[in-house]
Amino acid sequence: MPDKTLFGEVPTEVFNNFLRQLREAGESNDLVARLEKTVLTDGALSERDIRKALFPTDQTP
Amino acid sequence: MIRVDAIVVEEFRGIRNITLELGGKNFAVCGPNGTGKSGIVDAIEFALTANVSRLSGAGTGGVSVKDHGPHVDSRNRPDKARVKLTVSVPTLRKTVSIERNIKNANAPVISPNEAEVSAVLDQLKQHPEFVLSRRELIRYVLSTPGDRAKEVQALLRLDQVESLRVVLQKIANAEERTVTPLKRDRAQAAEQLARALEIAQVGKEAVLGASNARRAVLGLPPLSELTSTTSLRDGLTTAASDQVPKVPKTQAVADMMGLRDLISVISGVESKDRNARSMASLEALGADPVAATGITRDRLLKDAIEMFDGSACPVCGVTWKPEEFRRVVADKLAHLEEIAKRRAAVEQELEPCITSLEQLQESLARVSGYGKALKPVIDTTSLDSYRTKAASWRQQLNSFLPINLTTNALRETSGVPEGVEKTLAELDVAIAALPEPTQQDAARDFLTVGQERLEAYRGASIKLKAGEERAALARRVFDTYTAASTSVLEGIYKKVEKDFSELYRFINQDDESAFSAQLTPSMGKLGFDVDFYGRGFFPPGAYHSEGHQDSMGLCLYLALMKHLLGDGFTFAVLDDVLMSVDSGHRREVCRLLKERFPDTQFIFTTHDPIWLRHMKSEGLIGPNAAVHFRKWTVDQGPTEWDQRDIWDEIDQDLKRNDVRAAAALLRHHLEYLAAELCHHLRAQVEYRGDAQYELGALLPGAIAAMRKSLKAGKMAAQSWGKKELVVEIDEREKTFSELAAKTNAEQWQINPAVHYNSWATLDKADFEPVVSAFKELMGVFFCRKCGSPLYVLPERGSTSEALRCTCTYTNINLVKK
Repeated sequence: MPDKTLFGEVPTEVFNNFLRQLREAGESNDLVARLEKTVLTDGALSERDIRKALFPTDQTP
Repeated sequence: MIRVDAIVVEEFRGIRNITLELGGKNFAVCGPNGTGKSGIVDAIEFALTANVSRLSGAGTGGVSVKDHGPHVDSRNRPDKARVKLTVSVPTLRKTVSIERNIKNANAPVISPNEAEVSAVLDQLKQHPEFVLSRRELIRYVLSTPGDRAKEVQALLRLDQVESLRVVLQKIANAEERTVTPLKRDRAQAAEQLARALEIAQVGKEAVLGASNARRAVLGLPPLSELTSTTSLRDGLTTAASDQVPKVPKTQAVADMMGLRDLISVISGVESKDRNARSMASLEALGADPVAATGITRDRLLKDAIEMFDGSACPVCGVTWKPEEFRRVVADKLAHLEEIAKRRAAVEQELEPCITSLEQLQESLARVSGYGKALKPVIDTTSLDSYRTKAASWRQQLNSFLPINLTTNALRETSGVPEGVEKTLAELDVAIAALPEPTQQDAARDFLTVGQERLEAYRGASIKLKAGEERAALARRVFDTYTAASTSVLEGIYKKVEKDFSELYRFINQDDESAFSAQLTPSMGKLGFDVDFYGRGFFPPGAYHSEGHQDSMGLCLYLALMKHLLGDGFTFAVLDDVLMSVDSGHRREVCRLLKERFPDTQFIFTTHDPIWLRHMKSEGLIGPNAAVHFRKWTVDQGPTEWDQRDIWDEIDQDLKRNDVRAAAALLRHHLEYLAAELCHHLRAQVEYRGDAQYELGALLPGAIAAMRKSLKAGKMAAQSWGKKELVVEIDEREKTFSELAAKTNAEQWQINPAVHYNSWATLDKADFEPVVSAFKELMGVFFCRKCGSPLYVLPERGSTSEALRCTCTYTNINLVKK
């Protein structure tokens, strides 16, 4: 269960809704799982972290 | 969340030492300006968050919690400046103490030090908005839509929502930008392939047709399919295919022609006109100083927001309030966003030039290669130099900044460097002198070069496809996020709008029972319009009074907090909030807080004793749930209207033979007490339009009211046949009359000789009995057991039903049988 204190209540609600809509839109489970871990579990919102979640095979320095 | 049971403050701000027992209930701190009320608010905020809003952030001019949190006399002993809160945590059913001193502000002593307790305190730290001052209150109401959105966003922590939106948008935009050069690469590869195969446009039929014609010359079977692995040279013997001349004449002629076409396009009138327009756009953009350093600052600002630790700027170390820091940086980013839009438009204008330069580079490299392969070798230094320049121009146009260098590069692109034309002429001659290949050799060269360029085209296509897929994914994710956040936020705003309207109607049901409001989010702004007596929707500041705006601010705050914390909204500090609410609506505000937020502990500060009285009379706070400061000194801090303290202070004055000081204090204290007693006992006092009631008007009224109540109580007891009670009240009445007579208070109107105005002229021996008489008299107005003042019930109306104290030890029925 993600640590709710990472974000305020409203952002947490928005992030969960976002992941739910991605699933409903048919995006791959892997992508949604990576985003869930990055955003909700790790609380990582930097461009680098989100890029890594979107494009895991990228060779980043 | 929590409820505060007790507060201990030592050597903090203007406070030397004070302990307040709140018992988890609503509580009020009252006192004139400058008596230390805000010190209590600061202490609560410091204990819970390690910060004091008023001492941090923009506009505090070098003032800081660390340096200016301790009492001025303890500024070198920050360890002595401490606040201890005892709180109960309803969800954990635990009592917790949290103690923090200025020296080790970030290392509070928490007991019990358990993870679940820390989690609750961390949550509070994330919600410093539990303290609401009037300054903050009015920002919700009277701000511009943009500023209001920021205030509400800060309260709801929407900066985190925005942060992810910005990142996803940035990634989507960046991925889409990478597609453009990939498209250019593929278009260029297609053009090269078409030129090599001497076809107008790359297509399956055209490629197969051109290739099969050459294959027929070589006696090779035709290719029927063109798949991703098809080789145009399929069937050519390795030995034969290796014998490709260094300069295949046919392709070389075509490439020379291609280069000349390209040069004439780049240096032609059409390109020059287009470049002139782009240079004008660049000049206009460059006039904004922010544009020049835009990219660098954009990155810096975004990094600053990311690295901000909640207290100090990560770059210069200046202390900021978190929301103010983010607001200032966000404002700068908003301006950069506008610049970015204009920049994108100019970049679009530059695109054809960048494409041409890329093709020129490629073409120059190929033709230069022919010169080096020819025998004798043709010196192509001028072409290599031109290629280097084209590469440099292209790089600058892609980099965009600095703008003046981009303008210079653009200006230079239309000029053909000296020597290029001469080299091209030499190459034409040398290539023309090459022996004409046999039909078979030409066919073999054709297929070999064609295959090379087909492979390049395939590579470019694969990269483009991958880039387009990435861009599409990034855009889909961004669009999904935008839709998800919009639906959540619109839902929140609708709910808050409804709750706000209901709360406001509760307060103003007498004349605005049909009130409603509209919260309209749009493009980072939050519009807020309210109904004005059915005449339409207007901004709150348009027609509503200041008092109404204050109550709107409170209602919006309460609606937001209710949404934000739900059942967790158990605690809030309202610092001098609602100071301008008119008296007609104060009772409704009290009722609103009491009835709609029964599980929330409010701590109020007010400089208005009448407000305090309203809170008590409406039952918002208990009879003893308040502290009333009367003065503040730097040595002592705030001093309360506490009976024991006052009488002790008068005794001290008399010991020093300072009758003047003792007389002044006695008079002020009696004025304060008499006003309270008149209120509690429903005394009749001559009305004054300026509300300036003197002791001469108040105390006789209070004495008369007490006498009336005792008399009514005695008569009621007689009617009910309660003889013992009759005796008891009779005793009380006699004692009261004797004490009242001693003070001469009732004679003030008719005997100026005993008037309080002459107290200061008495000597100590004459004044001591006066003090003693009033001290004894005042004691009768209070319960002997609980010490609370006696009061008449009900508070208003045509009848009086009982004379009571808080603990009901005194409870005299005033209604006859």
